[in-house]
Amino acid sequence: MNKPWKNTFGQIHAEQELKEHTKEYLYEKVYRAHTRRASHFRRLAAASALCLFLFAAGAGYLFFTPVTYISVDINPSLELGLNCFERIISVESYNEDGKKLADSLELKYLDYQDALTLILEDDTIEALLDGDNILSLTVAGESESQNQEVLQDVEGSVSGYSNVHCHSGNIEEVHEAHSCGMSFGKYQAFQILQELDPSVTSGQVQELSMHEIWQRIRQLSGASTESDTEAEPDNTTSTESGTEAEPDNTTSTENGGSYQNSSPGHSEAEQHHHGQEHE
Amino acid sequence: MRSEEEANRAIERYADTVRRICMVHLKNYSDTEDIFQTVFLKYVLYPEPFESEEHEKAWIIRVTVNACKDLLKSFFRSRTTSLEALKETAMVPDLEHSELLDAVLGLPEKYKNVVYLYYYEEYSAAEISQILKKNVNTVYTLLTRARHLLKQELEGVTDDE
Repeated sequence: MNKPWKNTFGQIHAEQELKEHTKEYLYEKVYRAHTRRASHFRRLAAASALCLFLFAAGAGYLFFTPVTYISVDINPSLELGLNCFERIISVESYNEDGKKLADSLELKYLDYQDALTLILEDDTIEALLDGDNILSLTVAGESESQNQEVLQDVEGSVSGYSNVHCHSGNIEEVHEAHSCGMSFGKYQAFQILQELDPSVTSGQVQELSMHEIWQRIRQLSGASTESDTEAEPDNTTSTESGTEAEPDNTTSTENGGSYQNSSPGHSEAEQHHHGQEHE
Repeated sequence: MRSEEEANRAIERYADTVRRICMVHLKNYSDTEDIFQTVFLKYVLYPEPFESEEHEKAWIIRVTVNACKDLLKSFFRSRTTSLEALKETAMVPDLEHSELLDAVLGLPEKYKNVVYLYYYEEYSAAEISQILKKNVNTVYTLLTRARHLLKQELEGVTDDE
């Protein structure tokens, strides 16, 4: 009884055209739209990833670029690089003592005031300060306003110390100092020394401690540059020659001499040293 | 969502079935195209897996029947076409045994599905009741009445027994 049904309905087939239209419809409606949406999504994802990357790179650049330097010079000489968020991101030491000090303290990523406190409370530094050495803190930065701000804060945090001196400088000099392999504070001292004795080279100064540099400066200005051309600074003899050049200064021993890293008018400062030494 | 390959495979496999149901219910080609699109779009978007091919086929049939029903409902609401016009646009190809086809097409809507499913697709009344979501006894009643009507129409083409 089903045979006529089979025959009748069996000959009904979906037209090829109908099938093709349906496939095309599904492709248009579902699959292409889907791939388009997927590619939209992919493009959006790529764009946001790029934005995120740029933002991270920018933030990273801001964070890891030093804009201000604080040079700490006593016998150990080291330099702290601050980023624009006033965090320490680099600690450079410019002599052996400085390296020891930098290694003994965890200064990186600290707020610079905390770091200065740590440095000032360090045993070596305390001993040097007690021994009447003068610690010079030199602030140099690209931005004048930040420079001043940092300098003020630094001055504020060291106000309790009588033999800590703060100065400011400019960033070009800092870079010059770095190219000579010196911290900024030392470089300033070197420049003063070089003015008095043009034959002094940065290599020679590098080996000297701040104390010794200042002694040479005092000695040269005291000898008023006439005869003192011996430009071979000998670490062991420089203090002795210092005492020789200034016979009246009998108290100038290795740590007895005081010095001051000063701003442009260094001759006044030197006179000031003499005054101090005579006392 | 089903892949494009799956969709194409389903179209190849079930297009004839869908086409036959459309033929029973609908009179013109563009409505048939609409039904094809609706059915296979639903198939592509249907999230559940099918237990078997029979399950899948039954699902397709049910969706097609419902789609036809929806279309006919909206058809009556939105458009009115005279019977003559319907006959003219009827998509009945020049087929043998068209007496039977004519007889089926001439049946009231409610009988068409059961008749088609019972005689051509050879589903049992119980299966039809599941596919159409009707009571089994209703299916039996519909079948009996449809058979009676067809017999009247054909007088011997379809053997009642």
